[in-house]
Amino acid sequence: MIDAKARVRLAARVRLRFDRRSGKVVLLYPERGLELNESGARIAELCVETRGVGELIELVAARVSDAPRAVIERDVLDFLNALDARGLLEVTRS
Amino acid sequence: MSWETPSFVEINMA
Repeated sequence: MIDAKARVRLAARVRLRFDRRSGKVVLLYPERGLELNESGARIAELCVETRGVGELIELVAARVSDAPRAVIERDVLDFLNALDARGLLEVTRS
Repeated sequence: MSWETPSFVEINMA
């Protein structure tokens, strides 16, 4: 499980793209893709470079005005773990 | 930005 002490980045085979047809950000990987909602896209954009999960949570929370930080942290961790379960992240656990 | 639980929909690269 990814926690706030881990470091993450998108795996080498994953590409982050904007799909003009749907107007959504998508994560592309061989033969498959994921269409992200706005919050998911923000998190994925922060994973383009290696980043500490704690820092990532702070960066996301800094732009959100209508949710408690604890909720944001839980949601971000759940989302990262869902990406990791599909092999889309490179994770360094401390 | 307003917060929505981050989510995704799988697409068949159809």
